[in-house]
Amino acid sequence: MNGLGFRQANSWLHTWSGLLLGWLLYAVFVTGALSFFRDEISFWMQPAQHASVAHAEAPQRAVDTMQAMAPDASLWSITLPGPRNPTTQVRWFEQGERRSKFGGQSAVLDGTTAQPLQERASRGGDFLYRFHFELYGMPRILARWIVGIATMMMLVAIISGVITHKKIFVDFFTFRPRKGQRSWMDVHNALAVLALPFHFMITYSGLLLLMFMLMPWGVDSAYGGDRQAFFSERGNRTAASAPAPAADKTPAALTAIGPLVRQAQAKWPNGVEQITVTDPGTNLATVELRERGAGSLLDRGRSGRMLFDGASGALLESPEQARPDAFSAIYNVFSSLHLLRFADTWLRWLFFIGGVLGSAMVASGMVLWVVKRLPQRRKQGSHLGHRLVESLNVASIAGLPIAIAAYFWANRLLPVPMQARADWEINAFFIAWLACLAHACFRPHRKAWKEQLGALALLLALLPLHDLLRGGGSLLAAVSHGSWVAAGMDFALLAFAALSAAGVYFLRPAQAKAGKRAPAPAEGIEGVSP
Amino acid sequence: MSTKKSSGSGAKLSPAGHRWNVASRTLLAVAGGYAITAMATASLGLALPLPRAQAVMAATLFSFALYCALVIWAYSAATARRAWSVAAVLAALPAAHLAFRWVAA
Amino acid sequence: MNWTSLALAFCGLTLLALGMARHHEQVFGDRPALVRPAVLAVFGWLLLIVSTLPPIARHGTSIGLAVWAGELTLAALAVLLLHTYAPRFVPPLLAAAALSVPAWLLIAGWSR
Repeated sequence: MNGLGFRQANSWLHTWSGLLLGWLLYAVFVTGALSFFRDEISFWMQPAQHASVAHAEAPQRAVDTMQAMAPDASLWSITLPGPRNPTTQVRWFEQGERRSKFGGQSAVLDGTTAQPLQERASRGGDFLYRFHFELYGMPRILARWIVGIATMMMLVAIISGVITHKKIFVDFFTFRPRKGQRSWMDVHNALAVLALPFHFMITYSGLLLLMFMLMPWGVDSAYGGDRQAFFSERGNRTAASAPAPAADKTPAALTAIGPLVRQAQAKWPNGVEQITVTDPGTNLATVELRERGAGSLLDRGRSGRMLFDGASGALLESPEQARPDAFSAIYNVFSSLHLLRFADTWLRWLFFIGGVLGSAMVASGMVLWVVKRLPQRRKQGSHLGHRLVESLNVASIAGLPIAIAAYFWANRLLPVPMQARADWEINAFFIAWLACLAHACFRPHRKAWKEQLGALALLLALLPLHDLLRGGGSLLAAVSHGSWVAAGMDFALLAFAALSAAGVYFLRPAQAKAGKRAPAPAEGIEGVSP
Repeated sequence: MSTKKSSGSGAKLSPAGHRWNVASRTLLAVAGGYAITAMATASLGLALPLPRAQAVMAATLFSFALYCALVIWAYSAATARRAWSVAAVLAALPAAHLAFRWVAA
Repeated sequence: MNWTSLALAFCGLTLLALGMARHHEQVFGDRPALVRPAVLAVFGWLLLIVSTLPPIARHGTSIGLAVWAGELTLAALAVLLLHTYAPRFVPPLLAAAALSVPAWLLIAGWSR
């Protein structure tokens, strides 16, 4: 390292910080990109619900169904159909039951009739979301540390990459195809630079989301280890209103929900996302409506609320939320951009494309490492380290998508009443991934690529076809009901199948490519060129 | 070409020398960098002229940028010795501040 | 999706590309530049700045800038692929994109 210039030293650092955990970073990027569509994927994995369509009367009908299913509940939470899911999702807690995010009982109702729909046991998009930062099958804190360390290495790779890239502006739109290693470098550079703000933002915000675990020393030192004190000081918690006297709970009919929803829709352009009813059927009932969409990232995209008296339907005053301080605002902007809970369809697709470009950036870097060392390999013969990187490349870049496709296939093929069904969908994912690793280790490198990419193209493309043959078919549902969530997923599956097929096409033998011009001598038989 | 282990910036390192160099810088980057960042975050959280919760937030938000810069320094410095020397100087300030606070408590 | 910001970003990035010798040569061959590179660069940046306005107007500043950054990536991808694989189409597509902006605004304003 001594005697290298600043750029050269950073070039070395970029290669190693990128390569060592590149396969893990690729998995984090891919599952992260998919997590932007977590709700949509979960919906797609419940085919019995695909016929659901939103209806203007959904709020009142959902309340009527809740009245029948859980009249004595302490709280009903009703999430109305929306652009990400055309069903009504309900959750309720019995009297005295502790209210937590995943507790209580839940059901999925049809968007029009508000009748319960069948749910098949599946972790849905949540498996991919959790994998993104907690991996699987290991203690949560350990997994978060592993992902956190990988993310820090990603940050170092990004910064050292920018330092190394001498002609970052001049080369901004440059791509020189069919030039072997030069082309792979151009691809890696283009994918990195064209979405550089996204890559930097998503990486740094990922670190911030884990920051109290990775870097707790500020909090611990200033608060003497009392983290709760820090969180409540920072939380801008509005003062809790005085609890209502418990004695006077008398039965009272719940007010009609429809007029309340219409009142909110007059104010909110994107409509109502969620209705929360506390103590329904009593005089203490309250109805809280939550707005769909978000105002600003500065307060985490907090949406508007309206609170009504449950018996009379009168609008109550909501306490003003305090404005966040500058540093909390910075944290809120970064974390909101990473989690993207608030985003509308267009922004969600833009960020998904960013995630795909990021995944491709990591993948192209790992391929570039192999391609760069091919002349050396041909002279000096095979080297265990190179062979390891080659096999890991195929097993992660092509193998992970194959594993995800296997997860989707298991969702479609496993019998609904099967025991531990959700676990077996996940087992299918890991079995497929291990099979890809074994395949990559034993097949010659180029053949391994072609075979896995080919398998991927088939697996993805046949999924929508399978649905069609089974009497589903999201495209028909989309055209007839106007429900595009499942159709969007099917389009994406077909698009990625086409991309994989294109990859197989690029890998066709060099002689076939020589139709118009002789192959560049530097490529050789092993050489792969986009 | 020199064949002995050397830390002069002009002389080329032997393969063994190169490995020690990389190991040394890596230790500095991973462990030293984290230690300096941790101390700096704790120190800034106490020292910044802001309400306590905001000072801690500001220090922690910034910490990852600092760590990244330290890693890059560890590998970019002309020699490993220079890398460690500067890092020691950078560590001294927050370490002294924290030691002072601890003694004064 | 807001077409005007995408089209404006595409035009701005194309002008910036044409201001670089390598891409000017890709599109126009050996012919000398009609417009000085510095002028192209200025107008390119101007169009990029203007392209931030539609998403900000629609979504507010913080979300608008996030949308804009994403659209910039898409437009940049289009410019790169165009210059690499079909440089002959750059001038006509640039003109079409530029004209589509007032056309879209007219249509959008009409239907309101």
